[in-house]
Amino acid sequence: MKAPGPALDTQSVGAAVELVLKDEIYWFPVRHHSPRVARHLDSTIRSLRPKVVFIEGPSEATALVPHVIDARTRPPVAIYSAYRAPSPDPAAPRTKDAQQAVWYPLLSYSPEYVAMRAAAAVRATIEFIDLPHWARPHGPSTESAEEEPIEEIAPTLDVEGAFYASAAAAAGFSSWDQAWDSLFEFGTSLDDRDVFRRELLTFCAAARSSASPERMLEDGTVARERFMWKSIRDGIQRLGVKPSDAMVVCGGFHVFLDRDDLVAAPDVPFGEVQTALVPYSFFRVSRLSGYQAGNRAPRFYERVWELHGRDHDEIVAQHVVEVLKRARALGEPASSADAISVAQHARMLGALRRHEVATLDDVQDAVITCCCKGDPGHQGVHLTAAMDHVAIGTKVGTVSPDAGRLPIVSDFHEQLQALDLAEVVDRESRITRKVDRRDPVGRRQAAFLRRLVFLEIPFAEIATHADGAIFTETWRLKWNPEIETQLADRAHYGESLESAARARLREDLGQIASHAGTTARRLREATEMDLPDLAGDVRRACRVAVDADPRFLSLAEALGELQILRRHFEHSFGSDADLVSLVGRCYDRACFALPEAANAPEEDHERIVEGLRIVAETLVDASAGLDRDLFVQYAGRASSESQTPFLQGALMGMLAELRVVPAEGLSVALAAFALQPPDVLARAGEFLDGMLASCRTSLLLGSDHLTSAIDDLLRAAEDDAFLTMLPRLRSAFRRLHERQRRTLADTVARRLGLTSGAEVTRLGASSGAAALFARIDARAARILEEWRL
Amino acid sequence: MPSKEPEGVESRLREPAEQRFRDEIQALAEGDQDARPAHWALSPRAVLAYIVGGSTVEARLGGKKRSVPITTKFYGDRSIVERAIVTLASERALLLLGEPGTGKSWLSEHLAAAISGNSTLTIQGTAGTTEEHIKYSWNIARVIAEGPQPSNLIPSPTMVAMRAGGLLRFEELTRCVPDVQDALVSILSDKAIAVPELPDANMVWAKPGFNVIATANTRDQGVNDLSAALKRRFNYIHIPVIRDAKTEVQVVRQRSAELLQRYDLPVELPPKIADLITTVFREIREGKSEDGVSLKQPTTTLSTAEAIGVAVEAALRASFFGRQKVDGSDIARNLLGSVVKEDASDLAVLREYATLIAKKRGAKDATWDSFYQGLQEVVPAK
Repeated sequence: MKAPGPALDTQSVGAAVELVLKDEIYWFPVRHHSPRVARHLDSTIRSLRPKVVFIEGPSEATALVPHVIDARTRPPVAIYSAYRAPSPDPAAPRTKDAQQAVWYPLLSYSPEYVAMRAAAAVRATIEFIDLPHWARPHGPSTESAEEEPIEEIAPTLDVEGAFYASAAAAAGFSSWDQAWDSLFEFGTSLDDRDVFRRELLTFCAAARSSASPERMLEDGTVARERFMWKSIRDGIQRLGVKPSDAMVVCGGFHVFLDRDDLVAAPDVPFGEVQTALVPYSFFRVSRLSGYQAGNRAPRFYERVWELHGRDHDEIVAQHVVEVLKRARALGEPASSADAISVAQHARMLGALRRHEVATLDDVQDAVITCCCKGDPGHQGVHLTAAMDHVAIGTKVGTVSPDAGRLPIVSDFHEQLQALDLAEVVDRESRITRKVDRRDPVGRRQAAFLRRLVFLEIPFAEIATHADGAIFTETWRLKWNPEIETQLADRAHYGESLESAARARLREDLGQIASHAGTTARRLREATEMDLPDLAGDVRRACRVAVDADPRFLSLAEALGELQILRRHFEHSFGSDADLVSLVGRCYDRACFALPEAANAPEEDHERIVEGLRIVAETLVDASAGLDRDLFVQYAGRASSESQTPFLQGALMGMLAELRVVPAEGLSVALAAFALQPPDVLARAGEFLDGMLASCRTSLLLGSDHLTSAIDDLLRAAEDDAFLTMLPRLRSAFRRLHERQRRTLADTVARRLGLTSGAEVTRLGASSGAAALFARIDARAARILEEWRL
Repeated sequence: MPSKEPEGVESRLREPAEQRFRDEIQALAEGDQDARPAHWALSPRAVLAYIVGGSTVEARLGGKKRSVPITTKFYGDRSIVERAIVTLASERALLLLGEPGTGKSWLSEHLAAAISGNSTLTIQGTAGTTEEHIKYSWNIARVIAEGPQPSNLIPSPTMVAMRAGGLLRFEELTRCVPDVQDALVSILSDKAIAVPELPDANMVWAKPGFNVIATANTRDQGVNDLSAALKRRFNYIHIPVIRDAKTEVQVVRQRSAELLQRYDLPVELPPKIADLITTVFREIREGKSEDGVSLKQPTTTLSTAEAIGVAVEAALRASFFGRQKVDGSDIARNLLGSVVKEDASDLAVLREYATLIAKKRGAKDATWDSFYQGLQEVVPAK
């Protein structure tokens, strides 16, 4: 638990609440996705019948309200808002500030959604009042430059988090969700809406009083509140209503915004704004999907909303029965008797924890207690999966056809029709498609699917990538309604899949300009996505990156990508001199970078071995026409300069694999460790591990020498040195295939005189016991020999 | 050190929890305003307060008003204790499951002490446990002389608990053969034991409040698994090994101090030594050192209870044969028996740990150095 902060000034908290309660404007505090708040809000609006309802929603999307409340729109849905700053060069990659998109998810029981429906029912005007997302200060960023930019989902307030977490901990709750459920969401003590409003206002006033003004300024809270307050005042004036005819529905924290703040609201920057109402899913609203302002159990709370007025036990019973049904489907033996026990246990747990009724936490603990016969982490995985599945639900919303589609979504559907792939949507089942890129339609299909993959739309995945199959690809395709949401998620990149892929590729290039490996990968992807106009730019960027990047790992990755591309071009269009020259240049740079990699940190070792393999494979490809001596020279230099036995072994191993040094030479280098002081000798395991990482075949051809060298090492190693090298020796031999291990074992057997190929019995006892048996056996043999038996 | 025993009570090596923590239980009972299930000494909330500890209760004990601190009996997830208490107030019995030394019996004893004021109604499950141990047996000599009569019946702890509406503790349930385990099925469903030999009094009925707390070792799972019928009658609660290093250090310190006090030893366990023990146990248990070196894992479970045992034995050794001060070498000497129990090849685990970890740390830290030197002595050379 955190150390307690300064004591709360309860008098000023009480005074702040009284001011709000006496305000002419009726302020209703909300928590996102709370059925209890939604219920009270609905009844308040229907009874007070305000003339205007101001809602903390994206002010740029007020025009979408009629579509939101359209009876054909069924939540979960989301208001999507994207912004692109005007740019003199449309082709230039955009920065984070220049391009942003935000989602405002709405569930059937979201207070904001319910407020809109109720306001429409009483014929009140509805206006969104929140500051557009692109006009907000970003606050101190914790994101790294490499992280995905341009996405922010739903408004959340950092400043609230600390207070809620510490308040929950101080009251003995394990989380803020648990605290909210037991304090506000359930039970009958807050059935009266005025009592509820006062209690929630008091809690929010306390949260507000503990928040630092500097932090509120920094994270954009103050800017948003200035804008909201201005929108409310302007709205009242514009609509010509009295303040007492206005209601404000906003986060409880904002109810206490500074009404006397004289600073002007921030200006909203000009640019291209796109808003749309799109279908959303329970999963995306759930916190499991990473949506921090989300609802941990959308389906559970929907049930609470739908069954309002019924006995709470019925809600628990329905939920439990569904969880156990799902668990049974996953193979868990759960009976009706278990369901009864779970419901009873949940009630009793709730009572012990002073909850008026069983909360979701009580129910979930009860399911584990009554049904999991062992460790929840092992025996309870099915139950946990069933609990998540039922609590989150699978619902996907629908949007009124009048709301229209985002251009990128329309483009997706049009292309499905044009490319003969529409059946995937019609059938809603997984289908497999073979695509032949020699055929014009096949080529367009492949490019379309690659663009979707690049944009991370989970509609298509490549099923086979058989070596040698250059023109044919097998794809697995699966449609689900949530794909539209994910397409909308990419709408800020462009209005068609092609333009979105192009924009995203350009954006990536801006961020990875000096990384040869990633740039080369983008070049391959641009080709596969059939973006020839961009391919030229990417090729130029790649050339620059190859020349500028001194890192072996990056260059080796680039070399691998360029080789794939070169072969593809060779098969499709004949040799591409420019690409061949780029491969050559990348190979040269990779060789030059080798000495720098020779003392790389341990976490890079495996990737360096992989890089060596790529360079060596490129070298042996006769059509690449590369300078073998360059690699030999730099690999040799790197090996001699390396202070790391693993990399020494790997480099020498690779030279042996290329027949530059004989395999026996490697064994000699390994055996040389036996003559070194114990601390150097102890690192022989690393050397062998490196050798076997890069060179197996050649080494095993000379396995006599290898076993002899290992023998020398083991004889020379004292206990401590042996123990130190043991983990790496194990790692080295794990690299060998079963057949290679057998070859080596045969060599050892031959060295020990086991020439008849006798079966080796698996040890059932410890090695110590086996050694004792062997000694007894030898002694018995000596005695028998003495007795001439 | 003065004995804590009340006058007239003979000194015992170990008192049951309800005696050792009598003041705490009485203090909680005095202020307990919540409803209690039938025959419970405390309400569920007071039982929870007794187990998780951390509070101080004002109470009148022995005619004097006192502040009684409630000590922590169980470290770890509070919801485990909540779920256990609720289970004992429900129709189902409780099975505490976990690795050896995770505190299952400890928790079981304290639950029984706080709920029914008696933690001694215990059956120790073994391969030799019979149905008579669970139900009842007869005084054979008197049966021969007088025939079966209620006064000749020797009640089992189960029967005593049933008659009193108390809790039965069944330790290591899965060590019993399945036929014997199944004797519990009728007891848990009918809440009664049939005594067919006594036609006039052939049923012993459980009073409200009766329930069973069993413990089982995950290492024994699969040997004598519970039948499906018996499984259904138990709620399983898994007690995990303490993963959090800080909590484990806290447990080792507190429990070692309590045990050293019991042995009246004038030595203390220095914090650095408690840290060392828990670090060694955790690293070997998890097969990985704090700095990421992979290690061999032994066939034994290195529980927190084992770590406490090592700490106390090291203190005993330092007290009787050493310099009155526990150092790393005392720990090393007592570690061998914890790591190498069933398989001599576990010696290699200690040898590997000594070379790869202890030696390096010993170069910078005197406590680790003395631990390393101690290991060098106790781990026999190959």
